[in-house]
Amino acid sequence: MAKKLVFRVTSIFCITLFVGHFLFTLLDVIPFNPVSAKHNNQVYEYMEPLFNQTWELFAPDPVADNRTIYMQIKEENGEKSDWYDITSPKIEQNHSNLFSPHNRLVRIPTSSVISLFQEDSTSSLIKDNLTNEENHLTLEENLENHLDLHQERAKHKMYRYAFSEAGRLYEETNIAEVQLRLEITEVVPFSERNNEEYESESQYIEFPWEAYTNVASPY
Amino acid sequence: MNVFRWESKHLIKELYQPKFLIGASLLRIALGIITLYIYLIHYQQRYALWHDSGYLSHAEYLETTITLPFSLYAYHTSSIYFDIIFHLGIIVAILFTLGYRTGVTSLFQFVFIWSLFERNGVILDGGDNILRIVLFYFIFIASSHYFSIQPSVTRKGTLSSFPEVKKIRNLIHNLAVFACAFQLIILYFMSGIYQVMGEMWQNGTALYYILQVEQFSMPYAQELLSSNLYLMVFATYFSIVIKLGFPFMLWNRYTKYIAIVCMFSFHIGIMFGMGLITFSLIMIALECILISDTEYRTLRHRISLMPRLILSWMRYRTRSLRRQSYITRKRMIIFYDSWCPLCQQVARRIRAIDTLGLIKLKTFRDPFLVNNYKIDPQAANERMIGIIEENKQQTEGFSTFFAMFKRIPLMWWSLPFLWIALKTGLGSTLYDSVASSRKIIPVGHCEDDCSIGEQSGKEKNV
Repeated sequence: MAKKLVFRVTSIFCITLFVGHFLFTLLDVIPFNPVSAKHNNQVYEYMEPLFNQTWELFAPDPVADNRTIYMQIKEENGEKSDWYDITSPKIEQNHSNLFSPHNRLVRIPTSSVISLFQEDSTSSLIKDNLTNEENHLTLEENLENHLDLHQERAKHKMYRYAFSEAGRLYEETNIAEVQLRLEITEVVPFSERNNEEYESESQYIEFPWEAYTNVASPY
Repeated sequence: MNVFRWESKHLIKELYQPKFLIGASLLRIALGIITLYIYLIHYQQRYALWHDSGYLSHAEYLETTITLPFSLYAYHTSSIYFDIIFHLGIIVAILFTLGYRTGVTSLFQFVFIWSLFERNGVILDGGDNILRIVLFYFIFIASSHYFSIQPSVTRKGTLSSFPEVKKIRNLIHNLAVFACAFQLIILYFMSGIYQVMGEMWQNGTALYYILQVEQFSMPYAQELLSSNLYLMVFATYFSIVIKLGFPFMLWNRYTKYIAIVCMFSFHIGIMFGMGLITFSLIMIALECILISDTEYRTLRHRISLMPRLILSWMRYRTRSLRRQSYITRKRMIIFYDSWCPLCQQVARRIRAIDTLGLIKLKTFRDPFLVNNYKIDPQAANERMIGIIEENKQQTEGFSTFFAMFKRIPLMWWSLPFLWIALKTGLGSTLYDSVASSRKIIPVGHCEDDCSIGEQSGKEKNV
């Protein structure tokens, strides 16, 4: 009798766990709504980090610009190099052979730039809690600090990638500093696709000189 | 009040029977190969991608992790430690693919892949995300019943002697398999929902914009879709409709197959149009889990019938062609050894694929035929003899093979290789070595003397 009871309790436990897990998963991935807002903290605690997932694949609004990182190198004697495009060669290498390491390596420059402009899950969580009036100010301050930190990290990733590329182009001991420039070019709008004279607008963001550190090259 | 009383006994009984064992085994192999591909294709870049000296330093990695560093790569920065973990990961992936002690290797595979992905999130995509989650479910899946070097059915488990424990294990396996399927459904449905919410997806131009972004577009795909409005709008809406319809199409057997085929073609499109290789491979692999064991068996049965069906169809289509004089004059007679099991097997196969009916296979062990066609039985024993009916030209050995294959359209693909083998003499050498070492079983054909004609044969009587 006891054996049967244990068997049934275990079965019910497994099925409940299964249903509960997918309820939490659904609440985590559905578009933001009052129910998911109410249980946001509990869902976040359950899902992170093991079941972390996001399925907004190229949606609702797909990326519609090309982002290119340029790098300038300052040598030990103070001489500055030309600007090197360190994004396009990776993309071209990927285009020439999809079944190669470049298929993933191409994400290094592009993903670090994307994360520069994108919120991470922690800042989204802080934002979702901003409605709570009691600690509104503290949360707002937290969010600001967190976004600053997140951006700093994204920038740091870009520099680490640039250091690795600089090490391939120059003698490592000869590199003093590296400067970055980001070019963001809007894609040609659909309505202008046949207009050969249309010129896409580009925005430039210039980053300061950073002292060079040796970073392993993928080659 | 009896809260533990089941309402639907049939459904509950089904839950305790292991399901989707073939799908789980196939998925194990596919995911194992994909993870091995990730390890090996980046073998040279491993330090740059995942080591302290690479793109993400150890200190920075520790800063960005949300919780405690769960990655095995986080515990030491030395390259020796890194290499040990990395190579252990490769060994685990191989064992996982081969299905060796999947109970343990599935757990290790999850831990090692988690560790690798956690160490550098910048290079990950949606495919890696679902792979990581599905590998967690795999810890609870019995995935070594098929295509495994150590099938779990042959292992003697001490726990399996208790029927209740066995039932609970089956229940956990089934729930984990359902979890993989649910995870796939959630991915497609939610992705579809987010697409519907986007303006570019609504007006059918989203694919145009995505393909303008160099990172996510292959030049040929960009050209193809940008120049074809109908194709572009169709592909944009198709991707939404198929994703939203996916969960509902799985409930009917026939719509399920349509959904699987549609998703397969969708991912092939993503693989070569957008260049997302591992993402597409992982998603295609996950479709394996949606097909039940019975369906796999039916599929295998139908596939095994396919060659016969195709050959019958070809014979039917070529029935009038076979009567044409320019075809019939190409007929040839091949003399084979009916005492050799291998030759009999080859003869059966030749008869099956001879769709034009140009090959007549006759045995040189029949004295009446040998006299009738005036062939030397000893020469036929050493090398296969063929006679082309039109000019009575005689061929022997590998040349007979070449002449025979020329008359079988299904074997035309092999002609360039056979021609090279014929001209270089490699074919004849190979043929002679196989022919001289063939086994001969003259059961029921001779009792005391098994020689051919007056000379003794070289055959080895068994």
